[in-house]
Amino acid sequence: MYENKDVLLSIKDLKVYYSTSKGIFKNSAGYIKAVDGVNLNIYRGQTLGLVGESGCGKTTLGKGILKLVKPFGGNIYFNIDGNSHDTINLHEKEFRSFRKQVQMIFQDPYASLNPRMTVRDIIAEPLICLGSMKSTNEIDKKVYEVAVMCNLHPEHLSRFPHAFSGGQRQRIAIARALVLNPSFIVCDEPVSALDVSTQANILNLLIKLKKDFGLTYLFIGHDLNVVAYISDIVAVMHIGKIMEIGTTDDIFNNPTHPYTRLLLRSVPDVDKENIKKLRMFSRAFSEKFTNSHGCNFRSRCEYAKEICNKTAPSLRTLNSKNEHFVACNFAEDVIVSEYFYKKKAV
Amino acid sequence: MSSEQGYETVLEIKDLGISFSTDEGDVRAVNGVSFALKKGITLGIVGESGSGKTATTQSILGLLSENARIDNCSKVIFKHPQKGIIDLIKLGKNDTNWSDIRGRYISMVFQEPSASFSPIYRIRDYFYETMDLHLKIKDKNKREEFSLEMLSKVGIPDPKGCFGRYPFELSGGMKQRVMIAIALLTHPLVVIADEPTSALDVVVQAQILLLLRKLQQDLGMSLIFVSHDFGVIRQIADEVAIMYLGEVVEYGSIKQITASPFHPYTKLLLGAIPRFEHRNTFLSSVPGDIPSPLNRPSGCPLHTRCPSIIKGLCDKSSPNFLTIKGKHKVRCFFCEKLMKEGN
Ligand SMILES: Nc1ncnc2c1ncn2[C@@H]1O[C@H](COP(=O)(O)OP(=O)(O)O)[C@@H](O)[C@H]1O
Ligand SMILES: Nc1ncnc2c1ncn2[C@@H]1O[C@H](COP(=O)(O)OP(=O)(O)O)[C@@H](O)[C@H]1O
Ligand code: SF4
Ligand code: SF4
Ligand SMILES: [Mg+2]
Ligand SMILES: [Mg+2]
Repeated sequence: MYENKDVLLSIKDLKVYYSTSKGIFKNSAGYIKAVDGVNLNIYRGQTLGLVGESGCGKTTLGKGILKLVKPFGGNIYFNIDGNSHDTINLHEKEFRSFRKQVQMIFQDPYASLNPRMTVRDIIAEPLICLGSMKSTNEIDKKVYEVAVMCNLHPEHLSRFPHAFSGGQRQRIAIARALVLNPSFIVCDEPVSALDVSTQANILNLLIKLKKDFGLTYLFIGHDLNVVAYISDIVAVMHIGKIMEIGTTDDIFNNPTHPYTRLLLRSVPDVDKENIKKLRMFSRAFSEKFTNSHGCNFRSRCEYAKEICNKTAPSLRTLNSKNEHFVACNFAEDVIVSEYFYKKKAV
Repeated sequence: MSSEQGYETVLEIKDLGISFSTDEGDVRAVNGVSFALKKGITLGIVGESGSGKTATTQSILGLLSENARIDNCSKVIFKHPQKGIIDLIKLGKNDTNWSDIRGRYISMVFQEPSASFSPIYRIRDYFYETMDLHLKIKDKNKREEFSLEMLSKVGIPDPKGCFGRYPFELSGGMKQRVMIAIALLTHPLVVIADEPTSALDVVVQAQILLLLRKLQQDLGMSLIFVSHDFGVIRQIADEVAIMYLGEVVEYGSIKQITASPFHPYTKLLLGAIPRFEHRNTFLSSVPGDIPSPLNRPSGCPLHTRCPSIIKGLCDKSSPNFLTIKGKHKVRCFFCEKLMKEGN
């Protein structure tokens, strides 16, 4: 996929399972397959958007890539300085250098900042833990520089996080993520807790920083408008698996997986009344991680046939450009039937 | 009560002002809000967090916290089907009149379904409680039949199974459906829904919006739907009030507001929404941060952030409502100037 582009991270068959105790509300298999065999390439300088309903495994995938949770299986290749490193088997020293290159910004700007540290110390912490800077002067200079970049007032550096609004706290979190000059940042729903006007500020900032520093993002979100707005490539996730991946254009103008189509139809459009057109075939999302046979979307799918209970579809390409991948046994039927649906709706 | 275009007003808020006293001082949460809710109409209230949406709706049912103080001149006028006109603001916390208003003629749906259920009761207990209080249906079979019908109306796939469950056994979307079913059980005249879908995923949100819209029309109820999400409001509301720092700054039909917004704040809010068609362009955003409600700006509340500010005027006096066309009203000096120049 996208062979001529520069791959920064290559994720092969990544699995992250959480073990659970047995009980009526836990599944009896003993683990939740939060990420279940994900393959992805993330290209240098691009933003990969990851969408899906809550609980589908987005955060776990982001953490798995950064090794903040221990993968159950799979490989992650990280390309730095022209060499490809398998991050699963890094030595202590290599791991430290990997940790400097990759950062994560979390959804909740209230919970992710230590309330007992000043903004200056919060931003400086990664420099002290992982960086090579020793002198206070040098550190202050760097903190000042990233703070200004993130539109924070330098006089705010001596304050504590509680004194700030949600948008300001998220800018502090971004400054902290930037301080080690990383090449890759996982943005885990960074604007989901913010109001739309503040959200616009943060999105504008993330886009500017990406351009200025050639950053690569994995942008996790549940608001499809936001993900469409910021991403170059979009992956759609459902219960631990990628259902469809393609350029933002492919996903939003030519969605092919029944799940992608359901998601897109459900997005409330501010410019017109669109929800009325939603066909109410879909049953609610249920987190069932136990049965690994078959397609995990089948209980909600209007196209499901007998074979979908037995055979789990894997990602395959439908166009010659090799850019648009779909995991559905009946993708061709979906395209045809949606064509008729569209014609009828007009 | 006046009727406009044949619609009868069921609930009217007049000059609502609410302050909360806190350790840091007085928070002016709502500042002179007025609107009339007509029968069978959905009124959307949009605004960023902290704009006073929840305080406004909570004042209707007397649910404000102890530290709240409502202005003396404020009125919430409800047209009770039997008792006639009642000013709900004047009812004390324990006034007996509440018993056949709250949960009977006016009911509420909250954002967090989990917070409104106690884990020790089954779903059916909530139904029976509402029926005991308001509907006086004593027959056991009738009660069950009535409840199950409501549960299937809100799209619960297995009403009987759901009836015997505990709230924590249901997903967020299912809980929200159950809460809607309970709220609608008494066929209320007014339903107040405060961000009822904000905690839900987009597919479930769409289902709940469709459902609320359908039930509201079938039962002829009036709905107050509060949200910070303009897209959601677009789907459900007939009329919209835009709130900023405790004031309604623009009011109109949903089409008027989304197609031809006048107020600088409404325009900024609409422009800040990312749209697929406008990718690769910068989003408009309201400059600066929202002022602390502890020290509200003088004059027009937006003047500290407004791109259209008229210096010497906006920071000194507060604009009045100006009618643009029909229901469409705006409070802004700049719009006044534009209208004058246009004429
Ligand atoms: N630390 C954990 N222990 C056990 N289960 C977890 C843990 N973190 C997440 N999960 C479960 O894994 C699944 C995926 O979670 P998550 O990655 O947070 O999803 P998302 O970010 O898409 O909402 C969910 O079912 C969640 O309950
Ligand atoms: N119980 C309370 N005590 C003190 N301040 C409050 C209380 N409830 C709300 N406020 C303040 O009143 C303002 C309006 O709040 P709210 O009505 O909850 O806004 P919204 O629902 O639009 O987010 C906010 O500044 C909020 O901090
Ligand atoms: S594989 Fe079958 S169940 Fe899965 S999305 Fe395709 S048609 Fe639906
Ligand atoms: S009154 Fe003045 S400050 Fe307020 S919105 Fe209008 S132009 Fe802006
Ligand atoms: Mg998450
Ligand atoms: Mg609120």
